[in-house]
Amino acid sequence: MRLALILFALILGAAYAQVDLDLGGEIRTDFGVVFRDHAPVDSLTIFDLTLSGEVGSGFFPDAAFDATLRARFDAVRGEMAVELRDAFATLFVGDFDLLIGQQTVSWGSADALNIVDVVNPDDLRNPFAGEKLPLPLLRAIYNGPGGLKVDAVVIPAFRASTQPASIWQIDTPPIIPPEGTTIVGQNPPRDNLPAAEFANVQFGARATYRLNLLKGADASIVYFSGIETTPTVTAEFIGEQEITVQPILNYDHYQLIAVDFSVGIGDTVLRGEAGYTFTKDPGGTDPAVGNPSFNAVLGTEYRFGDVTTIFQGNFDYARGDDGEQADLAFSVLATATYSASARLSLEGAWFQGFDGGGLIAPRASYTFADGVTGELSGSFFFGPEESRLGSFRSNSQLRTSLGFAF
Amino acid sequence: MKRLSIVLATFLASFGLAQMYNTADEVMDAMDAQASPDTSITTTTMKITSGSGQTLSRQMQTWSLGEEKQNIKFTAPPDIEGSGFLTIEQSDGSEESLLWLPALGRVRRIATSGDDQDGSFFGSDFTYEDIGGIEREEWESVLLEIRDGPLYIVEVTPKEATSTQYERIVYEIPEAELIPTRSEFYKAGELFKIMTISEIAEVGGYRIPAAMKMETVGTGSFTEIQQSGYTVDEPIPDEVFSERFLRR
Repeated sequence: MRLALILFALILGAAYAQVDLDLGGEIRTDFGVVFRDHAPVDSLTIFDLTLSGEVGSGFFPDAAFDATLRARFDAVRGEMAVELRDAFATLFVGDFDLLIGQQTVSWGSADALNIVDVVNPDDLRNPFAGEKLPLPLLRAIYNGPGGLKVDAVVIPAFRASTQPASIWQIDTPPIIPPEGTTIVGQNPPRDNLPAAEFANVQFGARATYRLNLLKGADASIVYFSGIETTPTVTAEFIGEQEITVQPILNYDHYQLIAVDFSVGIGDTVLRGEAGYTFTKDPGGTDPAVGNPSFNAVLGTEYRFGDVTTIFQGNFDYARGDDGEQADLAFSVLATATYSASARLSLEGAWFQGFDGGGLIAPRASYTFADGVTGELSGSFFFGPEESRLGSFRSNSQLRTSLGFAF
Repeated sequence: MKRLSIVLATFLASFGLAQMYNTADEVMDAMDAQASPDTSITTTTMKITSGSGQTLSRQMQTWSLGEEKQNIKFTAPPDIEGSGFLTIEQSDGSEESLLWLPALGRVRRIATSGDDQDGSFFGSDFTYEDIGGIEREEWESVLLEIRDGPLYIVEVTPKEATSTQYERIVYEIPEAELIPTRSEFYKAGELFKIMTISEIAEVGGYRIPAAMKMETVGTGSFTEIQQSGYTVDEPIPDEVFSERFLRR
């Protein structure tokens, strides 16, 4: 018995000695004001606590783990939430990395608009913050010879994107009741969230090949069988002459086939993505299901000393409903980032849609001390009310944030 | 006889006549001829001090395979910890640059250009050109002076086609070290920056700058770099210079 205890203590001691733990995190406050009425649009305090570690030693350990717990208080809405963000383990097994748990996967090559970055749902409370929601999934990355990498994911259970905050919600077209009827009321939306069953398991893979070409290049092909994380909204009418509207939220199954690449040519990096989305309504006959679409982006990055510039063109096509015209949209994105010093970075972004709407977003970030960073940014929407971005004109805002990482 | 040689050498040295090199090219050739490790692993601490005295620090681990491949991972401060930067020299001599930012969650190919040589090395007073050093064949060298030591004062000026931010650099090179312990960088006719190497480490038979400082004269800012934890000529697996290791 005594021998067993000593042996157990030795094993425990040896195992503990091989675990390298790191506890860190960030406290951040974020405050935003809309110009229209100087009303605060956000007043957030976020506290992230991250525990990470590795088991084993060497250039690649046996395993690694990461877990982040987030506490978020929204003073404007009076909401307090504690949530688990990324929490996953990675096993390094030969040429494979096996990642299990709640995590965030980023696919793609382009900037700001990524067609192939479809694995995680988005936190759309502020749709321009670009924050994703981590998702429980299984991920296997094969790091093959000669620059081949295959990244495969399986998502057992569906998670929807969060709904935009009220100021970011787009006005839906008015509901036209059947002839001879009158709308007398509207029920709360019925959310047809996909159930946790085999038919709703999402999966996909991205195969990337790196080439010793020019100043380096890579090309990827992506397949993803998924479920749209933002719903298609339809309505049912309950009753005969006096009817009640029942909005229904459906989440469409789709398949994406896409490519993305980046290549260094001289002083420039060229990046692109293109993908075709197949839906269960190829003919556009079912208004409850989204239609097939094609999207493409092509961009360049060029550096002038401490200034990095990006110019990108975006193209979106969606098949119209039966008998209707297809939706076409073009837009361009231009950004310039100037690293003025170790502390100060200035950035300007201009997004212009060909429907006349656009966004200008300047940002300045300043590092006050090691780990202490402040940011001042603005979002100025412009264009006709009927344009995508022009409809947010009254949401033009100024934001400031201060973060301390430890 | 041996004793006489030592006495003679001491005598000659006292008159500054004991130098081994008589021209700038000889000094520069001797510097170039010094062996450098095939591989190295280094821990670097960088302290950036602004003209007003505020400081920022950076700590990074660097794995190098000659001049062909280099992987830099930041280990501090917490807001940039985990970021990584991989450069791989292509067969035509051009450089592939990949950046890993944990917040972005993916490896990103980034643009580098001739103009990048002027760009700041991670926000410090060093530029990439300062870190990389000059290409001998692109510069003219003149031996200005030999001081006691002997200490060679060598001036280099760029040839017509050379892409550089400097119009001349003046090096102070002790014969015993054959590493420039002080470098003055001139721009638009004025002294722009001064780099001093205050400590040279002997590791595995190589002389490596262990402590250096770059001062920007006009702003009063300066950056100090301290290198430690050297491992040289130990085999580094090729997968260290990969996206996989960058992400790890």
